[in-house]
Amino acid sequence: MARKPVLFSSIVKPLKAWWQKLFFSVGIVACILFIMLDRGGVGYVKEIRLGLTDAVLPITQTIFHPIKSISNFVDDFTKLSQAHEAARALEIKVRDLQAELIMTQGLLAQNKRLREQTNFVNFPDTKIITGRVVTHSGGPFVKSMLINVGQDNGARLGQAVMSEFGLVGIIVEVAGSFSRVLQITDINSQIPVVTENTRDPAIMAGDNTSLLKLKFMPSDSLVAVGDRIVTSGHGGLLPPDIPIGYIEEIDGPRVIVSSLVDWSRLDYIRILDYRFADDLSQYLNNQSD
Amino acid sequence: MRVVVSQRLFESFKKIIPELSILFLVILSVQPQNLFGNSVISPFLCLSAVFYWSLHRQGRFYVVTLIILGVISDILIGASLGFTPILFLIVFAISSWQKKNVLLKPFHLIWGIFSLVSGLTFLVAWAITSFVSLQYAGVGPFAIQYIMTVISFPILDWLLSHIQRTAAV
Repeated sequence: MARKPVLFSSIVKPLKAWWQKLFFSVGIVACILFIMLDRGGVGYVKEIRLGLTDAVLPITQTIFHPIKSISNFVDDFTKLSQAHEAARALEIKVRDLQAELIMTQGLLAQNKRLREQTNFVNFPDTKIITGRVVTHSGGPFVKSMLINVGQDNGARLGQAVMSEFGLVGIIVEVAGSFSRVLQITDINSQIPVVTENTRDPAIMAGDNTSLLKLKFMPSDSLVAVGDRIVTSGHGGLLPPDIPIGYIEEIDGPRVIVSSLVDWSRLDYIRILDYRFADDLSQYLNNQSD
Repeated sequence: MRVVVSQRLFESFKKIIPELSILFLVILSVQPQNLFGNSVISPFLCLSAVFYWSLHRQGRFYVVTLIILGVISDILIGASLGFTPILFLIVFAISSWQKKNVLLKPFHLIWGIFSLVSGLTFLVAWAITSFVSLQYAGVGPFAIQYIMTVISFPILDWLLSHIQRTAAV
C-alpha cells in the first residue's frame, strides 16, 4: 500500500497558525508589562516614548497638512460672509474695552501704591510662551495633548498651560520640539485650588469628562454655585490665581466645577514660564542626589 | 519596465490599505479640531476598522502590525504604551477566531457581534484605566464612546467595504 505524499503546505499552515498564536500571547504579555513599567515611571520607558513621539509626530503632521489646509480654506471662505457683522461687533467690543482700560489703569496705579506702602513681596514675574495644539485625545481613556513647544523653546516639566480664558493643564513630558500636557480634566490630574471669594482651599481633580470635581473642601466652607475657582499656588509649581472655572453644581460634599476652557476650539495655548517651577525642580534634583 | 514597477508598487500599496486606513483613523481621532470636536467623546473608529479588516481582508493581519498601530495611537493620545495594542489584539483575536461563522451572516448580525466584541473591549479598557490611575474611573465616558462606536459602525463598514471593492483588497 502506497503512502500518501506529505505536502509542504500541510506542515507550514499549522506552523504559521501556531506562530501567530504565540505572537498574540507574547504581544499581550509585552503590552501588560509595558503598561506596568510606564505606570511605574521607569526611566527608559519614558525615553522610548519620547523618542517614538519625536519620530511619529512629524509624519502625522505631514499626512494631515493638506487636509487641514483645505479645511482651513473652506472655513475662512464661509466666514467671509459674516465678516461685516463680526467687524461691527468687534468695534463695539473695542469701545467697551477702552472704557474698562481707563478704569483698570487707575486700579493698577492704586494697587502699585498700596504695595509700595505695605512692602509687599511680589511673586516672580511670569513669562509667556505661545504655541499650538498638535494632537488632542478625544477618548475617555486619557486626557492629554501634544503641543509644538519643546525644550528648545523654553518649555519645562511642571509648567502651567493656559488657553485665553483659563488653565488647560500641566506639562508632564518635554522633548526638543514638543511637550505633552496633562489636561486638568484627566483622571490623574490633581491641582491645589481655592475659591476666589472665600479662599477655601481644595484639590481639584479630573475624571476624564469635561467637568471637574473639588475634593477635600473644608466642611464649613461657604461656597455657592457660580463661585470662581483659581489656583492656590500651594506647592510652588503653579502660580496663584490662575482662573480654572466656575462652580456648576453643589450636591452635599460633591462639588462640580465647569472649566473655562473651550475644549472643542482649543488651538492656541500659552505656557507660563514661572520661576518657582525651576526652583522646585532644582530642589527635587538635589534631594534625589 | 516602468509599467511593471508601477504595477508592483500599486499591488504592494493595495496590500497595506487595511493598515493605512487604521493609521488614518488613528491620526484623525487626535486632530485638535476634528469633525467630532473633542468637547464630546468621539467614536473609537480605529477599533471598528480593526474588526472590519480582521473579518474581511484577504490573508492575515499580522499581530506585530496591530501592535505597532496601537503603539502609535498610544503615543498620540498619551496613554500608557501597550494600552491600545491590547484592545486591538482582543478584537482581532475574537473576530479572527469566529471569522468563518460570522462572514456569511447578514449585516445586522455582524453589527450585533461587533457590539458584543467592542463591549468587551471597552470593559477591558475601563479596567486598565482604573488600574493605571489607581482609582475608580467613571463608567459614563466609556459608555458614551462605546455607544458612539457601535452607532457609527454601519457608516464605517460601508466606507471600508467601498474602499475594499474599489481597490480589490
